[in-house]
Amino acid sequence: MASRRGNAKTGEHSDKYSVLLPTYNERENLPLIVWLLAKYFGESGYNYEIIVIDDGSPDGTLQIAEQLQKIYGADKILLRPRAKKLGLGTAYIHGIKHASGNFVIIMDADLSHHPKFIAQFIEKQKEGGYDLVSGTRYRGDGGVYGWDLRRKLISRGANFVTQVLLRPGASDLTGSFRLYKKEVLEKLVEQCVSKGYVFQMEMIVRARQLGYTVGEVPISFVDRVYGESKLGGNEIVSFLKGLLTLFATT
Amino acid sequence: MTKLLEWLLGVSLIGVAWGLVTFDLLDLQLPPQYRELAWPMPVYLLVAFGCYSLAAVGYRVATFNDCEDAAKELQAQIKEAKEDLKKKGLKMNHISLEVSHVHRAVYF
Repeated sequence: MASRRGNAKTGEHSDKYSVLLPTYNERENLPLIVWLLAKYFGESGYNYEIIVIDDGSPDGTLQIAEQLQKIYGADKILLRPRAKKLGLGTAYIHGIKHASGNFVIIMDADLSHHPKFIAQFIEKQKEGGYDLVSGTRYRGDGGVYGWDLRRKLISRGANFVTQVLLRPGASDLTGSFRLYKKEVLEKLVEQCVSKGYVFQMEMIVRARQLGYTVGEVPISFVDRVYGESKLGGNEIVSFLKGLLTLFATT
Repeated sequence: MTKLLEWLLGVSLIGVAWGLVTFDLLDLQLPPQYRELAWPMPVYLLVAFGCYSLAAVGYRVATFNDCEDAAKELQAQIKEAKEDLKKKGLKMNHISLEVSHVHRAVYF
């Protein structure tokens, strides 16, 4: 019934893609993202595993993950939980240690990033031999759903300032839907010191400095929680602080 | 070299060139038109950059794609996923199509 596309078979059989999913209170989204990942990886034929790094979610995310493991198999769903909410950088380090793939995909677990783009990331990486491939909302037919004018203005404005100051050679720095060669991710996480989305920005800036090649794939970002996340003066100020820190230190 | 240092270097070089021409510091006896042109250059450049920035950001906001289809597709797939997972034996106490009310980090 499910037919395998030819492209994955003619490529290297040794390539394996580890998807890192740091989760915190994603009891409802986790099954959905895993279902989508399994669906699209199944269709594309690429070898994969999903590593769920749950930071002690009080809502039972880990229990859901255990059920998913029974459904999809312990070779496909790996659980590597942590006791409490720690940083994203350490989540990646923790996840990489248990990743058996030679490529690592990082993405959000809340369905704002859609697994259908992963095959495009993989193909782009093969096409150019890139060390990392970044999803961009700002190029091609990339875009966002659920943002009003004010939000778009802030996003584009912030990105413009970032481009002028950092000249990073990538169009979308705060996006965190990316494919890395495993050793590249390891090296970068080691070097980066920032937190949060500034950390994602720093990864790309340092990647360029270290001479790694960056490819881009347009993605659509579906923001289902926009109404609830506040983007006010405080957040903007902290973004600028992070940006200026990168400006002065990289 | 950090970006900050690159900028400082660039600004210094331009500043020195501007100073040399405007105030004729090397005593080159340049024709007065050069000096008159050079003198307001920094302001002109800043204004030009300001206009470019407004135009660029304005254009990018106007052409920022809205992914209506992606959202619809996602909604449909969520329904499909929930049915399929129930069949496969997943037990969820409370599944809603509403957005889950969690605090999520702001996304730029």
